Amino acid sequence: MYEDLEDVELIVLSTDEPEAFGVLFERHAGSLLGYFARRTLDPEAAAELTAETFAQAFASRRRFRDRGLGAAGWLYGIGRHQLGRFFRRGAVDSRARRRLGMPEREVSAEDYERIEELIDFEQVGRAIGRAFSLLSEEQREALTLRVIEGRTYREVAETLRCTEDTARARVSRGLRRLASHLEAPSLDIEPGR
Amino acid sequence: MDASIGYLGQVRDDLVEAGVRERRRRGRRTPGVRDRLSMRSLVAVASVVTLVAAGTIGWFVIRQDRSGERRAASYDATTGEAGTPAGLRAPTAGPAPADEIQRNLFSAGYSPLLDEQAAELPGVSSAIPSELSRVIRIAELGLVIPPDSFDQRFAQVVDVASAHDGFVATSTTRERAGNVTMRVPAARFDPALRDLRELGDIEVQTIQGRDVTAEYVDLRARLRIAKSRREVLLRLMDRAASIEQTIRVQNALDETQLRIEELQGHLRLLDDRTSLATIRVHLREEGVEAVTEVETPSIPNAFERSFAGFVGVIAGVVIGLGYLIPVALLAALVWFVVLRVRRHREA
Repeated sequence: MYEDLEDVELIVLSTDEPEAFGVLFERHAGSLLGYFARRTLDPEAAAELTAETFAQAFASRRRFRDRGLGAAGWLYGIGRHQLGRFFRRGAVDSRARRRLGMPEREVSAEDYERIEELIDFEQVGRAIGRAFSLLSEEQREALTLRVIEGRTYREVAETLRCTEDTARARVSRGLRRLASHLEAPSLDIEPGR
Repeated sequence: MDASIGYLGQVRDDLVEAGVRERRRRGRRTPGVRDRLSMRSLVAVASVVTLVAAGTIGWFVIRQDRSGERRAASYDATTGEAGTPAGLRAPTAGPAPADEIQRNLFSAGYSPLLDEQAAELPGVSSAIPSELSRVIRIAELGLVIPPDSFDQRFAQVVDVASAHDGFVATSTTRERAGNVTMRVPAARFDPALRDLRELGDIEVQTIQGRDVTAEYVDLRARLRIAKSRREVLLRLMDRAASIEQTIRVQNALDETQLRIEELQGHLRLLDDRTSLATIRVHLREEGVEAVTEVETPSIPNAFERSFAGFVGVIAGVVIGLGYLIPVALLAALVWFVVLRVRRHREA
């Protein structure tokens, strides 16, 4: 009966009808899970982040105001915040779930694999390869020696026939550029409806 | 949703279940204030309530302070009535050590005889002869009289003024309360005050003496100099040979004459103020508010009052906040502990 309703209507309705929130969850949980999986590269963390994000959204659904971003924008906003906290603390929050009295759920082996599929490592690899190819020849060489082959800066400097300081500068500049290319939308997914 | 991921299905069911639990909890209790109001309006209401409470507390505190002052004053007046050794009072007959003496209440038991004796024995208390000594004396007397005696007592007050060779300068009366300002000769100041005190219970009594002897002596000396200068100028005038000389002397003479008149005016004023003492009597029947001087509203007055009101309200709120903040801190602490305990129990 809720399937025909808009996201915003579902949220408004969910203050009295929890089932409506269930429908909202069904609509967005998959894409949100993929979003977290591709960023954390960790199926378990991604699953937990999804659960925590929805728990928090559920807890604050009365305060939801449609500011033109729709329900997806609201959910991803909460999700981004959770992701930031996860990266800073190295652990997924469980405050909202605890407050709602939700039990901790295990990620089964099959689920783990399916979430890994969402990550699409091939695509991640392609994105990294593309970003890598955008670096300068010198930076690419320095990064390969230092990061992939794990050589010392002295060895990198000898191979590239430059000073150690220059080798260090190339590696750090290369890493920074790589990061900026990877932040580009190539890894992003389309938010759901 | 990807139906093949079991974890998501479980989380979905958990969320719905949490919602059902929440609804059940809500159904049990009647909808509280918190459900109906958003956080923002709650904060707004709370701050308005706090400010109003602070203002009310401040108003009460200020009011209490004022009535305390009034009580203290009347209490002192009654203790003063009990009698203070005459030796304690300031020597108002001779030049007072301080330029302005404010005797509050001490005079109640003091005998005016000493003043009169001092006046009869010149040079007793100081180098300046006492006929020159000049003190401006102003007394303020608040009297509470028995009910239904106002008309009679008011007439008695006026009688006191004439009995001591004085007169009523101004009077304001309202039903069962009124103010009288009288002037009596300085020598009759104390007897008049004593007679007035017998007309009712003393509520407030203030006596001010401002010694202007030095000013008076100075003015007289300057007047003497100006007069002799006038003599000299007049003699010069007779000897003036040319028109130019005459005009110059005339100018100087005019200036001196003006100066003399100014000095005489000033001296006359001081004479009046010192020879006639001022007594302001505030009469009110028991249980009647005292008459306050009614000021006709004017624009500068309105601005002044609005500013005073503005400052007064802020002062009241600040005073009230001083009382409220410790209470609020304590309440917040209790609330925090309760919340902690409840969350701990839930966990």
